[in-house]
Amino acid sequence: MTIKELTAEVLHGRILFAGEYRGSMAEICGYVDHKSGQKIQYVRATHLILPACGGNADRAIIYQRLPEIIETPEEAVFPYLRGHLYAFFLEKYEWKRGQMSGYMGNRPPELIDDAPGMESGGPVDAPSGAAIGAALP
Amino acid sequence: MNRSQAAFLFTCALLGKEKLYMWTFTFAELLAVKETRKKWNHLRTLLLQTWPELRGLRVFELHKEHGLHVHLVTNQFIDVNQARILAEQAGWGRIHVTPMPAEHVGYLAKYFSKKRPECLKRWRLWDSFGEGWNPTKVKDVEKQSMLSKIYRACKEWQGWEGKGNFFTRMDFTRRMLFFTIENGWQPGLGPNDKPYWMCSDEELDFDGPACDVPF
Repeated sequence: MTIKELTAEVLHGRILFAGEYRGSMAEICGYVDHKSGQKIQYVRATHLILPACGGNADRAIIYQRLPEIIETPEEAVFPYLRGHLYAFFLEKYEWKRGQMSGYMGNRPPELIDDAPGMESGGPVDAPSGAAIGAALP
Repeated sequence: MNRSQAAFLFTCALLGKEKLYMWTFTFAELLAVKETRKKWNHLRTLLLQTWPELRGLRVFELHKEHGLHVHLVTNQFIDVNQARILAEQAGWGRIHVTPMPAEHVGYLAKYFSKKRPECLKRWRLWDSFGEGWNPTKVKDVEKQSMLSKIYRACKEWQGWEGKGNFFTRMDFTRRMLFFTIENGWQPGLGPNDKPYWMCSDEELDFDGPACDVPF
């Protein structure tokens, strides 16, 4: 994705968050009913992003509910480049007490190819803290 | 999804695994929210007097144009005509009932994810009614997430007690979450899978809490 394409998305009214990718982690997330023993579970990815603007937000957390095909956190893989600028397309976000939390839909993060000071290219290594396994769709 | 939604879904699962009935009770004219609640209490009393075995869930929904109305999910079919007479007696208007497969209850749970209107603050948006069953309460539901795991580890490490300084604790926990993701630690543990209390400040990349708070 180029900055021009990014700008076009913004002008279309899409909610997105651009920042430096710092790492991701997948987890089993859900709720357990202590009374009946029932549970609701799914695999969720948590992405850590450093906003380019700095300012009040230290780091942002972006959550992504992974497709049901991914049944364990170990199956998730995050082929993103640590230290590079990505655009995250959000369905909703919260900004509370200077903390930004975003929630992604199905659209994966997109590398901003022509961001100033960033080199374009494919993944060179798995980010620290990333789980290894099947690629996300 | 939040804990309330999860508790609602667990309770629906207890209510019935096959067929449920969804009732909608509305008013002919627009009523104030408090008045609607009073009328619901009256109607619930009448329903339970007529059908003592009746069990179900009540959901308040504040519609943009029609004001507050009530949805009921029951596991038992009750005579609509008789229910209509009771509803009229309690000052309600229109009644609508439809069979609903148990897996469609998520439709009602979506109301709880919407932003709560100011006038419904501190209200229970849903509640169970009827005797002889043990519905799930929000307090029975525990959230399982990386953040909650880290929070519990921090609580043990810092000796947090009671409910004070909640926001400061959450800021602190969030900071530990950042370190966990950036450094690839196991959630709730420091480097080399050591508990936080066994790690030095250098290992935790940690120079003290962001603000001075007596933990």
